[in-house]
Amino acid sequence: MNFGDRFLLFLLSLVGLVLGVLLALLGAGVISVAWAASELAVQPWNMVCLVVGVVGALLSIRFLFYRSRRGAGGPAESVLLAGDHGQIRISYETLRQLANRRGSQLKGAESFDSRVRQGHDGILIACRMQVLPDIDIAALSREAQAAVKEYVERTAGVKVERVIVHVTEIAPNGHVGKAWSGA
Amino acid sequence: MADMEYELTERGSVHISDEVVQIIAGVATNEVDGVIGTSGSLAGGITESITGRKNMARGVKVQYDEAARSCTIDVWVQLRFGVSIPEVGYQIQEHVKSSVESMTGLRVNAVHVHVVGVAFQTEAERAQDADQIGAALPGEERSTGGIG
Repeated sequence: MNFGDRFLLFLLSLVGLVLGVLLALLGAGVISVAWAASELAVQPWNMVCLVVGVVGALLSIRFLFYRSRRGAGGPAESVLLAGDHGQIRISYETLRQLANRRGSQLKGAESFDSRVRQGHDGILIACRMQVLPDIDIAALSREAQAAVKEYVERTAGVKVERVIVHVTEIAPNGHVGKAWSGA
Repeated sequence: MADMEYELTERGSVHISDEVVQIIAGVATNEVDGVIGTSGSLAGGITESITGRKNMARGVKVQYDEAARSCTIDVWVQLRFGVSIPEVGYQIQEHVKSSVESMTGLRVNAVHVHVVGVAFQTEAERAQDADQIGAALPGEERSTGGIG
């Protein structure tokens, strides 16, 4: 979601918040319905209502039919493969999910998250990893690089230029069962 | 999007609604092993939830070239974890192209496949995957995984 959409979503949230509070006050009897109707039907509040209503409706329609760039397959957010009968676009989100799945399987990795960017000669995968105590971090990092690179290249068929591993911290309590959320 | 219309016989023309091609392509896509489903807009998902009917045209876009009596198809798909994405992509292209061409007589110029995500098809698969992760790790060295 780009900055413009975030701003529009912020505006829609404000409109929703104001309308929600007003409705709650009306329902609670703090504001009289007759008073609200009489005030909102005259200048300048009728114009304010009209503008807020139209803007709110337009914003709602915008997000009701919103398709993120990944869904629309924008060139900046996907990797392109040439197929026999057309293109195959793999979104960065897909590659991120693959990297996260493989990274989460590593022994000693408490949590694993990644970001995908385009490099000069393939994609770059930046990983953030929280590790268990008493783990050889250098060895685990090398293993993560090799495993993620191999898995993404094999599964997605795209070239991985580099895997950057950032070990953020030692996990405070890592003695529980491992589960992967699929995110 | 305009519907496709072309002369077939001396007796008249054939008119193919864009939704017909979308549904054929959507069904063909979902028939390929490794495809979890097609991915459409939020509004389409809400409509499916309300009506309880799966919209097979969801996540499929068709562009017609009436002069050449052909079309270009875009499909947005979510695949199953573990499959080879290029391999499944090629299969989708083949199957969609052959289905549309055989059923409508239109020529398919290209089938563009957009992979928007990978997921587990069922909760059982997810649990099995988690078990595999757990089995690979001895006792105390298991971790909570997930995204931090």
